[in-house]
Amino acid sequence: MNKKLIMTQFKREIWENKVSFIYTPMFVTLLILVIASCAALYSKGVINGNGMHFNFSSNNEHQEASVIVDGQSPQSQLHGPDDKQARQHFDIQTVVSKDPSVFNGMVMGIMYANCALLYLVFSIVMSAYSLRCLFDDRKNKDILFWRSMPVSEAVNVLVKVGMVLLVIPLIMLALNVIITLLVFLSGLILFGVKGIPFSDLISSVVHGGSLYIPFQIFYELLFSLLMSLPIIGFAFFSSAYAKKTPFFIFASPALLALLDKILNSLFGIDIGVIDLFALYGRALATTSAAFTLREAFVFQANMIIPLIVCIIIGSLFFAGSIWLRNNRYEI
Amino acid sequence: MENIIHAQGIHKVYGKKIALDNIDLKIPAGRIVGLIGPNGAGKTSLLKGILGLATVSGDLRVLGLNPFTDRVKLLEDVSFIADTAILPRWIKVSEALDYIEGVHPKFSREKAMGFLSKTNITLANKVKDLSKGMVTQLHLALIMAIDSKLLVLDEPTLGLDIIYRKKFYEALLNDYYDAQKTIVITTHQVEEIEGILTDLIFINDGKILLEISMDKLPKIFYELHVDANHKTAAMALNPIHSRSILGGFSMIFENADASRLEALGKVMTPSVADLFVAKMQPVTSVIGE
Repeated sequence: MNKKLIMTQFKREIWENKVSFIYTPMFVTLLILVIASCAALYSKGVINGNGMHFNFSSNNEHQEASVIVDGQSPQSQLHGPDDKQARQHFDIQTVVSKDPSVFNGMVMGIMYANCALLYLVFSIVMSAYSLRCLFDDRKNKDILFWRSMPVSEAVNVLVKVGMVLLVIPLIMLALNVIITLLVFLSGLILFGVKGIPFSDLISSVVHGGSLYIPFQIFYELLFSLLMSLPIIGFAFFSSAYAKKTPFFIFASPALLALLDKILNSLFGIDIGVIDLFALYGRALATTSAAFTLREAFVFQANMIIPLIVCIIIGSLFFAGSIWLRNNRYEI
Repeated sequence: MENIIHAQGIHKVYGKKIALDNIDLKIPAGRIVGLIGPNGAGKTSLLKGILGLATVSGDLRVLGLNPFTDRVKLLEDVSFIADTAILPRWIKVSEALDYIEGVHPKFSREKAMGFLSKTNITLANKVKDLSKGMVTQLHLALIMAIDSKLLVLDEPTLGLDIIYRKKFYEALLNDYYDAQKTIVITTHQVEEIEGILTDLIFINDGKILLEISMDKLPKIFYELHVDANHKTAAMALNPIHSRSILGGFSMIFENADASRLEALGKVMTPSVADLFVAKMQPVTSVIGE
């Protein structure tokens, strides 16, 4: 395998799709950082113990923060919000100094906010990319140039698959790690200056799992992408097959399902399309924790067969796409 | 001399249309071959077969390889420009250089930079910001920097103005061509490549009408300009084509006796364009009668 050629093919994909694969996700992360910084500086923060429901409100009249620890809010022990002394007791520094584990929640909360937005962005990017990556070059005739180079269609298609299965999760991992480290380091400086012991802060994040969670998300994302291979593979196949609009081919199974439903209700004929979808739906349901990027997801033995089946179906679609690119298309 | 392209009984059908009709073709190394034919003649089908972009039946070998099954290996020694301005619009010049350097073992970045230095193209330019002529210059610079044995150009200057067309062929001849390289060109602008060709192939309706070296052309084909008084005598010598011109007729003869023609009027070597018309429109369609 020619590593230089493969790396160049990946570079080509990134050059061609740098707005959707690089610039937009980076903008999202930057946006989250800016919002988090603004919120931390000017807003009231409401933080719970594990950081999963971290949020800010922007009421400048009440520049204060509260934290729910062990089910009890410190706010309940203090005076009303108009009391200046009370506000001082409720700023984030005070809360963190009382309970350093809140720092972990803050880091994790911002990372999850970033992760959720990236997940949304990459879902759109991945769908659009899978549907057009083997179609656009034929439509705009760029294929005349690419085909003049000694690169096989197998390499071409597999690199595009790699973009979805590997590059997207890696970019998400990198951005999640970056935002985690940035929030961690800036929090460390901010709170450290205020006199909160570094050891408490570091211990809070290390034991709280903030530094580990991006890798857990990466693993869950890889798993959910593998479980989605039949859909991704069919999108690639539609892209390679389409003469005009890949989406119509991609949507054709929905029409088959409708036909199945009609035949079943009118004539009692079951062609099995809906059953097949239901089966796939059940397989996905067993792994839904991975799709929702829950921290608690753990790979279980009953997921092995569905995973293998999904990989095989997806691989068949990719093989079909390579065959189409080699044999069906003529410039 | 070893044949770069060896084709025997090449056949290609699209539906009911025969694109290539049992074509036999041998192109040795070091030649510049003009593949000339009207639209739909089969030129592009033949080139697609040679480049492994389409299947054809029959025995086709390019550099000893089957172009369809060995396409990737073949493209290490074969370059092509299939059309003008087909470089990806989003790509930067620097990225195009990086890309070809990364995937092509016979690409020389230094050569490409040398060719580009003679143009107004900069590394930061994107293809979409370049004029059509500049895109062609860029494409040619990239392709000429590949040390390939065969270069295939399918209508490479289509849509370009005369200045870019001249520059294109000058660069091709001066900067790329040598005795080890073979170039196959298809174009409608035959008069512009006439001076650089070593061989000529006419194709029509999927068949080769003429395959000749440019050296032999003056010994086989003659163009005779006659006035009306000698028209009948000239027609008796069986021209392959005749047309009326100012003050008389122009006739093209194949394998005729030159001395007999000289007795009737002015004899010269026909241009490739005139010969092409003569071969496409035989004498039965004599104009001016």
